[in-house]
Amino acid sequence: MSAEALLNFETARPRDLETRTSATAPALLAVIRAARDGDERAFEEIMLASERRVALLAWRILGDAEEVKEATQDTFLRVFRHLHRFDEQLDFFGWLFRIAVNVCRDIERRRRRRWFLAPFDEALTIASDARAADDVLAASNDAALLTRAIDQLPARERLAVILREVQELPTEEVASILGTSPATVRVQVRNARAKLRMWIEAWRGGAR
Amino acid sequence: MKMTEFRSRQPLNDDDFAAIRRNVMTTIASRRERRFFPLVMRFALAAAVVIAIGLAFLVRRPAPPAGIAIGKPAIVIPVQPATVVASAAVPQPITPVAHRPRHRRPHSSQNAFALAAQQNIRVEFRTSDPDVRIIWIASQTPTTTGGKS
Repeated sequence: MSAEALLNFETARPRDLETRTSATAPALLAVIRAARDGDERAFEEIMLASERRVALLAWRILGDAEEVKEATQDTFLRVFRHLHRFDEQLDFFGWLFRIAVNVCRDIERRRRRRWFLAPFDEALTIASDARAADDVLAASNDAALLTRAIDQLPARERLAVILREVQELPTEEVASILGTSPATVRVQVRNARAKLRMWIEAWRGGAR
Repeated sequence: MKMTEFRSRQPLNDDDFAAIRRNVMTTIASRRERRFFPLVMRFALAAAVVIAIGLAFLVRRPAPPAGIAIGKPAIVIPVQPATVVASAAVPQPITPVAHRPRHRRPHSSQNAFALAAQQNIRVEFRTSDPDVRIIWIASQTPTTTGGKS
């Protein structure tokens, strides 16, 4: 199977997700089986088919291009290591996203540790620079306001919003990825939306 | 404003993705090599153990001949009571030899002593005169005085 065919499958998938979330396409399944048997070329095809979606998800969670590279690489290394554990009855992309989210969480944890261990004045400089840049952007357009607001959400609510509202994954799949119940995801998304609306309106009012 | 607009532009270009793929494949290949090496080492170790056991079996010392004491008192277990017919003119000294098959575990010492105490060696010399016979009965008890005649 060619990488182009897999890429076509990938581009067709978001619409597919609406109706089918619990199975992997037979074509992709054949490639996964080959990769599981040690076919490196097959694994490269899996990467070609999914790397952009993984990178975009990591970008939305992390917001840093260098960290996105690291996250994408780590995600595929973990996928290769645990490919034998993949349940063929489940959706491959859901499983892949779960790994990607876990990798991004690890990177965020490391980032927080770095911030904590960094000298106080250096951390203050980084924080104030970022805030200043955000303020300029926030004043300029709505997308920047939204970015700033989402980045300020608590970690769990932020992930729920990104996966459910931005990535447009079904609630059940988001719950599965985050290891919570669908009801919890719904509550987190509702709370997050309320906070986003409140903050963005406040910033718009402040900017005027 | 739609939520999907949140960071909707891909931050990486084709070169970045190619570099990521290359790094992943290189790491996978190096991990495979690393995993293969301990496997080879494990096989080598197993082969060395097998060879060592084989050598130990081959160079094992043969069982000492019967009647020679090595650490323990010698135990002579005759298969049957020996009967020797000697010539009348020159009676030759006859040494009864008990043969113990090789590679057989000896009896425990207590059982062997009990068995030896029950069995004696009987040596009979016949002379030219059919009415004259010399009979020597040797006791098998592990005493230093030897048997009685």
